Amino acid sequence: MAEKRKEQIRRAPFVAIFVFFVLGAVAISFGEPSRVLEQATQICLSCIGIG
Amino acid sequence: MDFVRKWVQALFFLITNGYWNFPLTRGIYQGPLKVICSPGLNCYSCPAATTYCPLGALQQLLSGVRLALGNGQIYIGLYVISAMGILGSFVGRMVCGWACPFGLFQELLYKIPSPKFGIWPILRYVKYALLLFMVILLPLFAVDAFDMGAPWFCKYVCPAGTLEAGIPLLIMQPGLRGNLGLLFFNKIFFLLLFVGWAVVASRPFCRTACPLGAFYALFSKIKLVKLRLDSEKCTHCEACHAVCPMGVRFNESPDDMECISCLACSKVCSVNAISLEVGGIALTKERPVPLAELHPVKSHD
Amino acid sequence: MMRNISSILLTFVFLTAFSGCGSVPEMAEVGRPAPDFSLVDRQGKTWTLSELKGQVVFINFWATWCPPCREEMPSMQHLYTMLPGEKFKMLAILNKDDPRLADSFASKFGLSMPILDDQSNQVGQQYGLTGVPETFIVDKRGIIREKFIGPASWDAPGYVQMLTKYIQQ
Repeated sequence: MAEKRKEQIRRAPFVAIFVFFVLGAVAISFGEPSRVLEQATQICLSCIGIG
Repeated sequence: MDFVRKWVQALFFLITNGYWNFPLTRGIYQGPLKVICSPGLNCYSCPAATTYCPLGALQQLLSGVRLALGNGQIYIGLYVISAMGILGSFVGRMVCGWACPFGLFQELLYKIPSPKFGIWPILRYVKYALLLFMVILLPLFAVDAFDMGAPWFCKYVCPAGTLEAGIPLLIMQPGLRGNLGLLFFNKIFFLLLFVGWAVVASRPFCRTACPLGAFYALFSKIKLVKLRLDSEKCTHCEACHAVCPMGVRFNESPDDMECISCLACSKVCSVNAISLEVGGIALTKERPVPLAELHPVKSHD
Repeated sequence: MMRNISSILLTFVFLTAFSGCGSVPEMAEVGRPAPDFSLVDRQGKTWTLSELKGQVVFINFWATWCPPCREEMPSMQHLYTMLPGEKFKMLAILNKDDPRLADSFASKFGLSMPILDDQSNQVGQQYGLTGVPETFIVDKRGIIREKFIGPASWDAPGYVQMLTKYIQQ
């Protein structure tokens, strides 16, 4: 009944997190966040069903 | 635990909708916080929204990808995908259960007394089709005369956008009412459909239609924080089936793509076979199980 | 007990969040003087609204990423060529968008009206924009006479007549 299940650290999540952080760093170097900000701070009326 | 979760949900609702000046400005928040990704589905045209909606931002970037690349600007949605991917790799659909305002809204609707129904399991695949077509392929390839696409999911489906942005803006800006057309009635139809459905079934939008949940679901096996089933302790009493808001049979598929890690199942498991783990290490302290409880017990909510 | 309290609190939070009603007047209102501004167009020319008194001014706020803004651009261009340039000015104000994207958009679709750069959204705020597109018609005395939220087919007879009326006043 006791400690036969070994507590093994899974590597997959850390690999995935690393990959997406790198992706984010690349996107920031392209200046994409400013584009996201431009679009997020103004309403596109047709996009919410108006117009 | 459900009590803690409710407050975390309320907290995230307030953090992602923290701009309360909108009745005065009659517009939306336009500050720099909007460079941060909202974990859950929260329309950035909502007057109170303080963060950007990853689905909305991704569709906008993909629909303008030709014009941007033509100008030498590499705006292809990497920033948004990165934010979604980081959230997905850490907690996956735990976002749906703990941080999504629209998920919380549906949970509250489900508390309204009414006959309750299940959801046909096949419908769960609709959300993956919506993610692929309405969020990615159509904005990318269905281009107009100007070589630009449109945010299809926001424009034609998203009930969160109608609820959080469309309706409040129509209330605040009566001048907008002249523009209402078929598009609006189409969106109102989807909102009413999901609101009505959420009263009689648990989280119908999450389970059938949410492209963001579909994306996070792709991380069900590799996410850092997830639930673990101790198959040696499990007695297959199926107490976890009835309490799952997402229709998961946890003892049969512990890595189910529908699981939102709300911990409802671990609460009712009388043998403590369900625990939260982080990167392979169990987080929940294992309580010694009294012998008397090693047999299936009827569960209560 | 605690659960009930939290449910009630949450419902309250929702109700307050989704009911936005206020009564503060907008800065730019129909029937009142148009807020003055100075913006530079993509050719480097500075446009100051108050210097355009005696002419009818068509002010359109737009962005390249906004589908309805794009859709109304050809009709705006057509309208621009239809009306007499000495009595009518059309200013397409690019709201919080990359001017380089607007340049390539304009050259690709033959837009000849001045495109003014308002990246900081300063003028957008003065005019209390709800979203894009949004259009204001300012008469010869500098009074806002019309406000349109959302797109329109600007070369349709109704709009041409309306503008001609203001031009002849």
